[in-house]
Amino acid sequence: MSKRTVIPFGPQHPVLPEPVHLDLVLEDERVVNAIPRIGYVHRGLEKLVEKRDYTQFVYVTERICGICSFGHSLGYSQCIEQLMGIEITDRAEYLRVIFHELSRIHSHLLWLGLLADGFGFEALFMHAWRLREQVLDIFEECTGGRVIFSACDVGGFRQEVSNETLKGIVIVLERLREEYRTIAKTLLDDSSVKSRMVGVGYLSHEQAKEYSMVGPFARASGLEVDERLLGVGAYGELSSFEPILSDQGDCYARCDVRVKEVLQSIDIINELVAKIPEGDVMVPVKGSPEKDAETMMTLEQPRGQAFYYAKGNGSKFLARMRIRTPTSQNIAGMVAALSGAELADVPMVILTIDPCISCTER
Amino acid sequence: MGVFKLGGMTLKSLFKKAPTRRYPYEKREPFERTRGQIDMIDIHDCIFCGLCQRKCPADSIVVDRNESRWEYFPYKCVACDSCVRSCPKHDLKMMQERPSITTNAKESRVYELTPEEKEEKARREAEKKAQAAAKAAAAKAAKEARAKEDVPES
Repeated sequence: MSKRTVIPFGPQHPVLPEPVHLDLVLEDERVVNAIPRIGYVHRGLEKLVEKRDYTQFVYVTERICGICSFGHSLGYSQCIEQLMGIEITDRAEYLRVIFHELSRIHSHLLWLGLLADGFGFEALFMHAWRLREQVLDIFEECTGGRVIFSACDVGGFRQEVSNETLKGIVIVLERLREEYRTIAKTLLDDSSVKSRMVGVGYLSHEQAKEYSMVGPFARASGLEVDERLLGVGAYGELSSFEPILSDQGDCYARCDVRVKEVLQSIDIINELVAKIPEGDVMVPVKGSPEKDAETMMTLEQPRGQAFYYAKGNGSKFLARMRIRTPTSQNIAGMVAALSGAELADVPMVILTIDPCISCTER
Repeated sequence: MGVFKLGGMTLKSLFKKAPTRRYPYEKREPFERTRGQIDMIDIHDCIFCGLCQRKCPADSIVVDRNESRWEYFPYKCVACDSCVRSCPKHDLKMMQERPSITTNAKESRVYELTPEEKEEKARREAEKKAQAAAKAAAAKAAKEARAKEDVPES
Protein backbone atom coordinates (compact mmCIF):
# COMPACT_ATOMS: atom_id res chain seq x y z
CA MET A 1 0.00 0.00 0.00
CA SER A 2 1.30 3.39 -0.89
CA LYS A 3 1.72 6.20 1.58
CA ARG A 4 -1.23 8.48 2.21
CA THR A 5 -0.89 12.21 1.64
CA VAL A 6 -3.24 15.00 2.62
CA ILE A 7 -3.70 17.80 0.09
CA PRO A 8 -5.70 20.85 1.07
CA PHE A 9 -8.32 22.06 -1.43
CA GLY A 10 -9.56 25.61 -0.84
CA PRO A 11 -10.78 27.76 0.89
CA GLN A 12 -9.41 29.79 -2.01
CA HIS A 13 -9.47 27.83 -5.24
CA PRO A 14 -9.72 28.99 -8.87
CA VAL A 15 -12.75 26.84 -9.72
CA LEU A 16 -14.87 27.92 -6.77
CA PRO A 17 -15.78 31.51 -6.04
CA GLU A 18 -16.89 30.56 -2.56
CA PRO A 19 -14.78 29.39 0.36
CA VAL A 20 -14.98 25.72 1.30
CA HIS A 21 -12.05 23.74 2.58
CA LEU A 22 -11.51 20.06 1.83
CA ASP A 23 -8.70 17.92 3.16
CA LEU A 24 -8.18 15.40 0.37
CA VAL A 25 -6.60 12.18 1.61
CA LEU A 26 -4.73 10.70 -1.34
CA GLU A 27 -3.24 7.35 -2.13
CA ASP A 28 -0.97 8.08 -5.08
CA GLU A 29 -3.25 10.17 -7.30
CA ARG A 30 -6.51 8.72 -6.07
CA VAL A 31 -8.69 10.37 -3.44
CA VAL A 32 -9.63 7.90 -0.70
CA ASN A 33 -11.33 10.34 1.62
CA ALA A 34 -12.30 13.98 1.74
CA ILE A 35 -12.83 15.85 4.97
CA PRO A 36 -14.90 19.02 4.46
CA ARG A 37 -14.61 22.02 6.71
CA ILE A 38 -17.02 24.93 6.46
CA GLY A 39 -17.51 28.12 8.46
CA TYR A 40 -15.61 30.72 6.44
CA VAL A 41 -18.63 32.85 5.58
CA HIS A 42 -20.89 32.27 8.57
CA ARG A 43 -22.83 35.47 9.27
CA GLY A 44 -25.31 34.42 11.95
CA LEU A 45 -28.34 35.45 9.90
CA GLU A 46 -30.77 33.16 11.73
CA LYS A 47 -29.93 34.92 15.00
CA LEU A 48 -30.98 38.22 13.42
CA VAL A 49 -34.69 37.35 13.90
CA GLU A 50 -34.25 38.79 17.39
CA LYS A 51 -33.30 42.19 15.97
CA ARG A 52 -35.43 42.46 12.82
CA ASP A 53 -39.17 42.05 12.78
CA TYR A 54 -40.90 39.58 10.50
CA THR A 55 -41.50 42.07 7.68
CA GLN A 56 -37.89 43.25 7.71
CA PHE A 57 -36.52 39.71 7.85
CA VAL A 58 -37.49 39.15 4.19
CA TYR A 59 -34.54 41.35 3.24
CA VAL A 60 -32.23 39.33 5.48
CA THR A 61 -33.30 36.00 3.96
CA GLU A 62 -32.77 37.44 0.49
CA ARG A 63 -29.17 38.18 1.39
CA ILE A 64 -28.37 34.62 2.45
CA CYS A 65 -27.09 33.97 -1.05
CA GLY A 66 -26.91 36.00 -4.21
CA ILE A 67 -27.95 33.24 -6.58
CA CYS A 68 -30.84 31.76 -4.60
CA SER A 69 -32.03 35.14 -3.29
CA PHE A 70 -35.52 34.97 -4.76
CA GLY A 71 -36.01 31.39 -3.58
CA HIS A 72 -35.12 32.26 -0.02
CA SER A 73 -37.45 35.26 0.12
CA LEU A 74 -40.19 33.10 -1.44
CA GLY A 75 -39.71 30.27 1.06
CA TYR A 76 -39.66 32.65 4.00
CA SER A 77 -42.75 34.55 2.82
CA GLN A 78 -44.71 31.33 2.26
CA CYS A 79 -43.68 30.15 5.71
CA ILE A 80 -44.88 33.34 7.43
CA GLU A 81 -48.10 33.37 5.39
CA GLN A 82 -48.79 29.83 6.55
CA LEU A 83 -47.97 30.85 10.14
CA MET A 84 -50.37 33.81 10.09
CA GLY A 85 -53.04 32.25 7.87
CA ILE A 86 -52.70 34.79 5.07
CA GLU A 87 -54.08 33.84 1.68
CA ILE A 88 -52.44 35.63 -1.22
CA THR A 89 -53.94 36.34 -4.61
CA ASP A 90 -53.66 33.96 -7.56
CA ARG A 91 -51.76 36.46 -9.67
CA ALA A 92 -49.13 36.84 -6.96
CA GLU A 93 -48.74 33.04 -6.82
CA TYR A 94 -48.18 32.91 -10.58
CA LEU A 95 -45.71 35.80 -10.54
CA ARG A 96 -43.78 34.20 -7.72
CA VAL A 97 -43.39 30.93 -9.60
CA ILE A 98 -42.47 32.72 -12.85
CA PHE A 99 -39.71 34.64 -11.09
CA HIS A 100 -38.57 31.58 -9.17
CA GLU A 101 -38.18 29.67 -12.42
CA LEU A 102 -36.39 32.64 -13.99
CA SER A 103 -33.95 32.59 -11.11
CA ARG A 104 -33.44 28.88 -11.69
CA ILE A 105 -32.49 29.66 -15.31
CA HIS A 106 -30.09 32.35 -14.13
CA SER A 107 -28.56 30.04 -11.53
CA HIS A 108 -28.07 27.15 -13.98
CA LEU A 109 -26.59 29.46 -16.64
CA LEU A 110 -24.16 30.81 -14.06
CA TRP A 111 -23.22 27.25 -13.17
CA LEU A 112 -22.78 26.34 -16.85
CA GLY A 113 -20.41 29.27 -17.29
CA LEU A 114 -18.39 28.29 -14.23
CA LEU A 115 -18.19 24.70 -15.42
CA ALA A 116 -16.98 25.77 -18.85
CA ASP A 117 -14.44 28.04 -17.18
CA GLY A 118 -13.29 25.12 -15.03
CA PHE A 119 -12.66 23.18 -18.24
CA GLY A 120 -10.78 26.06 -19.80
CA PHE A 121 -13.58 26.39 -22.38
CA GLU A 122 -13.56 30.19 -22.38
CA ALA A 123 -15.84 30.74 -25.39
CA LEU A 124 -18.64 28.70 -23.87
CA PHE A 125 -18.20 30.48 -20.55
CA MET A 126 -18.63 33.87 -22.24
CA HIS A 127 -21.68 32.76 -24.22
CA ALA A 128 -23.37 31.23 -21.15
CA TRP A 129 -22.90 34.42 -19.18
CA ARG A 130 -24.05 36.54 -22.10
CA LEU A 131 -27.33 34.62 -22.07
CA ARG A 132 -27.56 34.94 -18.30
CA GLU A 133 -27.26 38.70 -18.67
CA GLN A 134 -30.55 38.75 -20.61
CA VAL A 135 -32.27 37.09 -17.66
CA LEU A 136 -30.72 39.60 -15.26
CA ASP A 137 -32.03 42.41 -17.46
CA ILE A 138 -35.53 40.94 -17.16
CA PHE A 139 -35.14 41.01 -13.39
CA GLU A 140 -33.96 44.58 -13.32
CA GLU A 141 -36.69 45.75 -15.63
CA CYS A 142 -39.46 44.07 -13.64
CA THR A 143 -38.32 44.39 -10.05
CA GLY A 144 -35.59 47.03 -9.98
CA GLY A 145 -32.78 44.78 -8.78
CA ARG A 146 -30.37 42.57 -10.70
CA VAL A 147 -29.52 40.06 -8.00
CA ILE A 148 -31.46 41.11 -4.90
CA PHE A 149 -34.99 41.82 -6.12
CA SER A 150 -36.91 42.76 -2.93
CA ALA A 151 -39.94 41.67 -4.95
CA CYS A 152 -41.36 38.85 -2.88
CA ASP A 153 -42.86 39.97 0.39
CA VAL A 154 -45.16 38.60 3.07
CA GLY A 155 -48.58 39.06 1.50
CA GLY A 156 -47.75 38.65 -2.16
CA PHE A 157 -45.54 40.20 -4.80
CA ARG A 158 -44.54 43.84 -4.41
CA GLN A 159 -44.25 44.90 -8.03
CA GLU A 160 -47.10 44.63 -10.47
CA VAL A 161 -45.76 43.15 -13.70
CA SER A 162 -48.05 43.86 -16.63
CA ASN A 163 -49.19 41.19 -19.06
CA GLU A 164 -47.32 42.95 -21.89
CA THR A 165 -44.05 42.73 -19.93
CA LEU A 166 -44.70 39.05 -19.27
CA LYS A 167 -45.23 38.45 -22.98
CA GLY A 168 -41.97 40.30 -23.62
CA ILE A 169 -40.26 37.92 -21.18
CA VAL A 170 -41.57 34.94 -23.13
CA ILE A 171 -40.19 36.36 -26.39
CA VAL A 172 -36.76 36.94 -24.80
CA LEU A 173 -36.78 33.40 -23.39
CA GLU A 174 -37.74 31.88 -26.76
CA ARG A 175 -34.77 33.60 -28.35
CA LEU A 176 -32.60 32.49 -25.46
CA ARG A 177 -33.77 28.90 -25.87
CA GLU A 178 -32.38 28.65 -29.40
CA GLU A 179 -28.96 30.01 -28.46
CA TYR A 180 -28.93 27.97 -25.29
CA ARG A 181 -29.59 24.77 -27.23
CA THR A 182 -26.53 25.48 -29.37
CA ILE A 183 -24.18 25.98 -26.44
CA ALA A 184 -25.65 23.09 -24.43
CA LYS A 185 -25.24 20.78 -27.43
CA THR A 186 -21.67 21.95 -27.85
CA LEU A 187 -20.93 21.07 -24.25
CA LEU A 188 -22.70 17.73 -24.07
CA ASP A 189 -21.63 16.37 -27.47
CA ASP A 190 -18.00 17.34 -27.12
CA SER A 191 -15.67 14.35 -27.01
CA SER A 192 -13.16 15.96 -24.65
CA VAL A 193 -15.97 16.94 -22.26
CA LYS A 194 -17.27 13.38 -22.36
CA SER A 195 -13.88 11.86 -21.74
CA ARG A 196 -13.43 14.04 -18.68
CA MET A 197 -16.89 13.53 -17.20
CA VAL A 198 -18.38 10.16 -18.11
CA GLY A 199 -17.94 7.75 -15.20
CA VAL A 200 -16.22 10.34 -12.99
CA GLY A 201 -17.55 11.10 -9.50
CA TYR A 202 -20.07 8.25 -9.59
CA LEU A 203 -22.79 8.09 -6.95
CA SER A 204 -25.20 5.17 -7.01
CA HIS A 205 -28.96 5.35 -6.52
CA GLU A 206 -28.63 3.53 -3.16
CA GLN A 207 -25.99 5.96 -1.93
CA ALA A 208 -28.11 8.93 -2.99
CA LYS A 209 -31.00 7.50 -1.00
CA GLU A 210 -28.83 6.72 2.00
CA TYR A 211 -27.41 10.24 2.19
CA SER A 212 -30.86 11.89 1.66
CA MET A 213 -29.57 13.79 -1.31
CA VAL A 214 -31.62 16.55 -2.91
CA GLY A 215 -31.79 18.51 -6.13
CA PRO A 216 -30.20 17.81 -9.52
CA PHE A 217 -27.40 15.89 -7.76
CA ALA A 218 -29.92 13.31 -6.50
CA ARG A 219 -31.96 13.33 -9.71
CA ALA A 220 -28.82 12.51 -11.69
CA SER A 221 -28.59 9.31 -9.61
CA GLY A 222 -32.18 8.42 -10.47
CA LEU A 223 -33.73 9.55 -7.18
CA GLU A 224 -37.08 11.20 -7.84
CA VAL A 225 -37.00 14.11 -5.41
CA ASP A 226 -38.47 17.41 -6.50
CA GLU A 227 -40.51 19.69 -4.26
CA ARG A 228 -42.29 21.07 -7.32
CA LEU A 229 -44.15 17.77 -7.49
CA LEU A 230 -46.06 18.77 -4.33
CA GLY A 231 -47.79 21.47 -6.37
CA VAL A 232 -47.49 24.28 -3.82
CA GLY A 233 -48.55 27.67 -5.23
CA ALA A 234 -48.88 27.92 -8.98
CA TYR A 235 -46.97 24.66 -9.51
CA GLY A 236 -50.29 22.95 -8.87
CA GLU A 237 -51.74 24.69 -11.94
CA LEU A 238 -49.25 23.13 -14.37
CA SER A 239 -50.82 20.67 -16.80
CA SER A 240 -48.00 18.20 -16.29
CA PHE A 241 -44.72 18.15 -14.47
CA GLU A 242 -42.11 15.42 -14.64
CA PRO A 243 -38.78 15.89 -12.90
CA ILE A 244 -35.78 15.30 -15.14
CA LEU A 245 -33.99 12.14 -14.11
CA SER A 246 -30.92 10.25 -15.16
CA ASP A 247 -29.65 6.90 -13.91
CA GLN A 248 -25.98 7.33 -14.74
CA GLY A 249 -24.99 9.08 -11.48
CA ASP A 250 -21.74 10.54 -12.83
CA CYS A 251 -20.58 14.10 -13.58
CA TYR A 252 -21.94 13.93 -17.13
CA ALA A 253 -25.41 12.94 -15.90
CA ARG A 254 -25.46 15.85 -13.47
CA CYS A 255 -24.63 18.25 -16.30
CA ASP A 256 -27.27 16.67 -18.48
CA VAL A 257 -29.97 17.05 -15.80
CA ARG A 258 -29.13 20.71 -15.16
CA VAL A 259 -28.93 21.57 -18.83
CA LYS A 260 -32.39 20.07 -19.45
CA GLU A 261 -33.85 21.80 -16.38
CA VAL A 262 -33.28 25.19 -17.98
CA LEU A 263 -35.42 24.18 -20.97
CA GLN A 264 -38.05 22.76 -18.61
CA SER A 265 -38.12 26.07 -16.67
CA ILE A 266 -38.69 27.98 -19.92
CA ASP A 267 -41.64 25.68 -20.67
CA ILE A 268 -43.08 26.25 -17.18
CA ILE A 269 -42.81 30.03 -17.59
CA ASN A 270 -44.47 29.90 -21.03
CA GLU A 271 -47.37 27.88 -19.68
CA LEU A 272 -47.91 30.09 -16.63
CA VAL A 273 -47.68 33.34 -18.60
CA ALA A 274 -50.35 32.00 -20.98
CA LYS A 275 -52.83 31.41 -18.16
CA ILE A 276 -51.95 34.03 -15.55
CA PRO A 277 -55.13 35.45 -13.97
CA GLU A 278 -55.84 39.16 -13.53
CA GLY A 279 -56.05 40.77 -10.11
CA ASP A 280 -54.13 42.39 -7.31
CA VAL A 281 -50.68 41.19 -6.37
CA MET A 282 -50.53 42.21 -2.74
CA VAL A 283 -52.86 41.69 0.21
CA PRO A 284 -52.49 43.88 3.30
CA VAL A 285 -50.80 42.16 6.22
CA LYS A 286 -51.82 43.06 9.77
CA GLY A 287 -50.93 41.67 13.16
CA SER A 288 -48.11 39.37 14.08
CA PRO A 289 -47.59 35.61 14.40
CA GLU A 290 -49.20 34.04 17.47
CA LYS A 291 -47.18 32.87 20.42
CA ASP A 292 -45.75 29.35 20.00
CA ALA A 293 -47.35 28.94 16.57
CA GLU A 294 -44.91 27.04 14.41
CA THR A 295 -44.80 25.93 10.83
CA MET A 296 -42.51 24.54 8.16
CA MET A 297 -42.27 24.90 4.43
CA THR A 298 -40.21 23.25 1.73
CA LEU A 299 -39.26 24.66 -1.63
CA GLU A 300 -37.31 23.48 -4.67
CA GLN A 301 -34.37 25.82 -5.02
CA PRO A 302 -32.08 25.63 -8.08
CA ARG A 303 -29.84 23.32 -6.04
CA GLY A 304 -32.57 21.26 -4.43
CA GLN A 305 -34.93 21.15 -1.51
CA ALA A 306 -34.71 23.99 0.99
CA PHE A 307 -36.49 23.75 4.31
CA TYR A 308 -37.89 26.69 6.31
CA TYR A 309 -39.12 26.60 9.88
CA ALA A 310 -40.58 29.53 11.81
CA LYS A 311 -41.94 29.91 15.32
CA GLY A 312 -43.80 32.98 16.52
CA ASN A 313 -43.56 34.54 19.97
CA GLY A 314 -46.65 36.72 20.02
CA SER A 315 -44.83 39.89 19.04
CA LYS A 316 -43.70 41.08 15.64
CA PHE A 317 -40.37 39.36 16.22
CA LEU A 318 -40.13 35.63 15.54
CA ALA A 319 -38.97 33.29 18.27
CA ARG A 320 -36.99 31.10 15.87
CA MET A 321 -36.22 30.92 12.19
CA ARG A 322 -34.42 27.95 10.76
CA ILE A 323 -33.39 27.39 7.18
CA ARG A 324 -31.82 24.20 5.89
CA THR A 325 -30.35 24.64 2.47
CA PRO A 326 -29.78 22.05 -0.28
CA THR A 327 -26.00 22.15 -0.18
CA SER A 328 -25.84 21.28 3.51
CA GLN A 329 -27.86 18.17 2.62
CA ASN A 330 -25.54 17.36 -0.26
CA ILE A 331 -22.17 17.64 1.50
CA ALA A 332 -22.25 13.97 2.57
CA GLY A 333 -22.91 12.98 -1.03
CA MET A 334 -20.13 15.25 -2.24
CA VAL A 335 -17.65 13.44 0.03
CA ALA A 336 -18.93 10.09 -1.27
CA ALA A 337 -18.66 11.20 -4.89
CA LEU A 338 -15.13 12.46 -4.30
CA SER A 339 -13.73 9.25 -2.83
CA GLY A 340 -12.32 7.19 -5.65
CA ALA A 341 -11.85 10.13 -7.99
CA GLU A 342 -8.50 11.20 -9.41
CA LEU A 343 -6.96 14.35 -7.90
CA ALA A 344 -7.23 16.13 -11.27
CA ASP A 345 -10.95 15.32 -11.41
CA VAL A 346 -11.76 16.86 -8.01
CA PRO A 347 -12.58 20.35 -9.40
CA MET A 348 -14.90 18.76 -11.99
CA VAL A 349 -16.73 16.68 -9.38
CA ILE A 350 -17.22 19.69 -7.11
CA LEU A 351 -18.35 21.94 -9.96
CA THR A 352 -20.96 19.49 -11.22
CA ILE A 353 -22.38 19.24 -7.69
CA ASP A 354 -22.62 23.05 -7.71
CA PRO A 355 -22.28 23.70 -3.98
CA CYS A 356 -23.52 27.02 -2.63
CA ILE A 357 -21.44 27.75 0.43
CA SER A 358 -23.08 31.04 1.48
CA CYS A 359 -26.42 29.23 1.63
CA THR A 360 -24.94 26.42 3.68
CA GLU A 361 -23.38 28.65 6.29
CA ARG A 362 -25.89 31.52 6.45
CA MET B 1 -13.73 20.06 -30.95
CA GLY B 2 -16.24 22.29 -29.23
CA VAL B 3 -14.57 25.42 -30.50
CA PHE B 4 -15.62 24.63 -34.08
CA LYS B 5 -19.19 23.77 -33.03
CA LEU B 6 -19.51 27.17 -31.39
CA GLY B 7 -17.99 28.70 -34.53
CA GLY B 8 -21.30 29.82 -36.01
CA MET B 9 -22.25 31.69 -32.88
CA THR B 10 -18.78 33.17 -32.51
CA LEU B 11 -18.69 34.28 -36.17
CA LYS B 12 -22.08 35.96 -35.75
CA SER B 13 -20.71 37.79 -32.72
CA LEU B 14 -18.04 39.28 -34.98
CA PHE B 15 -20.63 41.29 -36.88
CA LYS B 16 -22.97 42.08 -34.01
CA LYS B 17 -22.77 44.95 -31.56
CA ALA B 18 -20.55 44.04 -28.62
CA PRO B 19 -22.58 42.76 -25.66
CA THR B 20 -20.15 44.44 -23.27
CA ARG B 21 -19.41 48.12 -22.77
CA ARG B 22 -16.47 50.10 -21.42
CA TYR B 23 -18.14 50.61 -18.10
CA PRO B 24 -16.84 53.63 -16.25
CA TYR B 25 -16.85 55.70 -19.47
CA GLU B 26 -20.00 54.30 -20.99
CA LYS B 27 -22.93 53.89 -18.65
CA ARG B 28 -26.15 52.13 -19.46
CA GLU B 29 -29.44 53.92 -19.13
CA PRO B 30 -31.04 52.65 -15.93
CA PHE B 31 -34.41 50.93 -16.10
CA GLU B 32 -37.45 52.78 -14.84
CA ARG B 33 -37.69 50.59 -11.75
CA THR B 34 -33.96 50.46 -10.93
CA ARG B 35 -33.45 51.12 -7.26
CA GLY B 36 -30.38 53.20 -6.41
CA GLN B 37 -30.93 55.31 -3.34
CA ILE B 38 -33.73 57.31 -1.76
CA ASP B 39 -34.18 61.03 -1.46
CA MET B 40 -36.40 63.43 0.47
CA ILE B 41 -38.69 65.40 -1.84
CA ASP B 42 -39.49 68.32 0.46
CA ILE B 43 -38.54 68.46 4.12
CA HIS B 44 -41.35 70.93 4.80
CA ASP B 45 -43.92 68.22 4.00
CA CYS B 46 -42.31 65.75 6.40
CA ILE B 47 -44.18 65.29 9.67
CA PHE B 48 -41.22 63.49 11.35
CA CYS B 49 -43.41 60.55 12.29
CA GLY B 50 -40.41 58.17 12.13
CA LEU B 51 -42.27 55.45 10.23
CA CYS B 52 -39.48 55.23 7.63
CA GLN B 53 -36.94 54.75 10.41
CA ARG B 54 -38.96 51.94 11.96
CA LYS B 55 -39.51 50.17 8.64
CA CYS B 56 -35.87 50.37 7.51
CA PRO B 57 -34.16 46.96 7.80
CA ALA B 58 -30.68 48.49 7.61
CA ASP B 59 -31.03 51.38 10.10
CA SER B 60 -30.12 53.85 7.38
CA ILE B 61 -32.64 56.55 8.39
CA VAL B 62 -32.55 58.51 11.66
CA VAL B 63 -35.46 60.83 12.40
CA ASP B 64 -35.34 63.33 15.27
CA ARG B 65 -38.78 64.69 15.93
CA ASN B 66 -37.78 67.29 18.52
CA GLU B 67 -35.01 68.73 16.35
CA SER B 68 -37.05 68.40 13.10
CA ARG B 69 -34.15 66.55 11.55
CA TRP B 70 -34.15 63.73 8.96
CA GLU B 71 -30.83 61.98 8.33
CA TYR B 72 -30.08 59.38 5.65
CA PHE B 73 -27.01 57.14 5.36
CA PRO B 74 -26.80 56.15 1.65
CA TYR B 75 -24.01 53.63 2.21
CA LYS B 76 -26.02 51.73 4.82
CA CYS B 77 -29.15 51.73 2.67
CA VAL B 78 -30.06 48.49 0.87
CA ALA B 79 -32.54 50.25 -1.48
CA CYS B 80 -35.40 47.97 -0.49
CA ASP B 81 -38.05 50.63 -1.06
CA SER B 82 -39.93 49.95 2.21
CA CYS B 83 -39.55 53.54 3.50
CA VAL B 84 -40.91 54.97 0.25
CA ARG B 85 -43.92 52.68 0.50
CA SER B 86 -44.54 53.42 4.17
CA CYS B 87 -44.31 57.25 4.06
CA PRO B 88 -47.79 58.60 4.89
CA LYS B 89 -47.02 61.93 3.18
CA HIS B 90 -45.46 60.34 0.03
CA ASP B 91 -42.48 62.56 0.69
CA LEU B 92 -39.74 60.05 -0.17
CA LYS B 93 -38.72 58.94 -3.65
CA MET B 94 -36.51 56.20 -5.04
CA MET B 95 -33.78 57.43 -7.37
CA GLN B 96 -32.14 55.38 -10.10
CA GLU B 97 -28.57 56.58 -9.48
CA ARG B 98 -26.61 54.53 -7.03
CA PRO B 99 -24.45 56.30 -4.41
CA SER B 100 -21.06 57.18 -5.88
CA ILE B 101 -17.79 55.62 -4.73
CA THR B 102 -16.60 57.00 -1.42
CA THR B 103 -13.81 56.69 1.12
CA ASN B 104 -16.17 57.60 3.92
CA ALA B 105 -18.96 55.05 4.14
CA LYS B 106 -20.38 56.74 7.24
CA GLU B 107 -21.29 59.96 5.46
CA SER B 108 -24.91 61.00 5.58
CA ARG B 109 -27.33 63.48 4.07
CA VAL B 110 -29.18 65.65 6.54
CA TYR B 111 -32.44 67.46 5.88
CA GLU B 112 -33.37 69.91 8.58
CA LEU B 113 -35.67 72.87 9.07
CA THR B 114 -33.88 76.23 9.45
CA PRO B 115 -33.87 77.78 12.97
CA GLU B 116 -36.55 80.28 11.89
CA GLU B 117 -38.73 77.52 10.51
CA LYS B 118 -38.19 75.54 13.70
CA GLU B 119 -39.26 78.53 15.77
CA GLU B 120 -42.25 79.03 13.54
CA LYS B 121 -43.15 75.35 13.84
CA ALA B 122 -42.72 75.41 17.64
CA ARG B 123 -44.87 78.54 17.83
CA ARG B 124 -47.56 76.96 15.69
CA GLU B 125 -47.47 73.79 17.74
CA ALA B 126 -47.68 75.76 20.99
CA GLU B 127 -50.60 77.70 19.57
CA LYS B 128 -52.31 74.51 18.57
CA LYS B 129 -51.67 73.07 22.01
CA ALA B 130 -53.02 76.19 23.70
CA GLN B 131 -56.08 76.11 21.45
CA ALA B 132 -56.64 72.44 22.22
CA ALA B 133 -56.17 73.09 25.96
CA ALA B 134 -58.61 76.02 25.81
CA LYS B 135 -61.11 73.90 23.93
CA ALA B 136 -60.75 71.10 26.47
CA ALA B 137 -61.14 73.53 29.36
CA ALA B 138 -64.22 75.04 27.73
CA ALA B 139 -65.68 71.61 27.13
CA LYS B 140 -64.99 70.64 30.75
CA ALA B 141 -66.61 73.82 32.06
CA ALA B 142 -69.64 73.26 29.84
CA LYS B 143 -69.90 69.68 31.04
CA GLU B 144 -69.71 70.78 34.68
CA ALA B 145 -72.30 73.48 34.09
CA ARG B 146 -74.57 70.94 32.44
CA ALA B 147 -74.07 68.55 35.34
CA LYS B 148 -75.00 71.38 37.77
CA GLU B 149 -78.08 72.19 35.73
CA ASP B 150 -79.03 68.52 35.61
CA VAL B 151 -78.80 67.99 39.37
CA PRO B 152 -81.70 70.26 40.49
CA GLU B 153 -83.92 68.95 37.71
CA SER B 154 -83.50 65.35 38.79
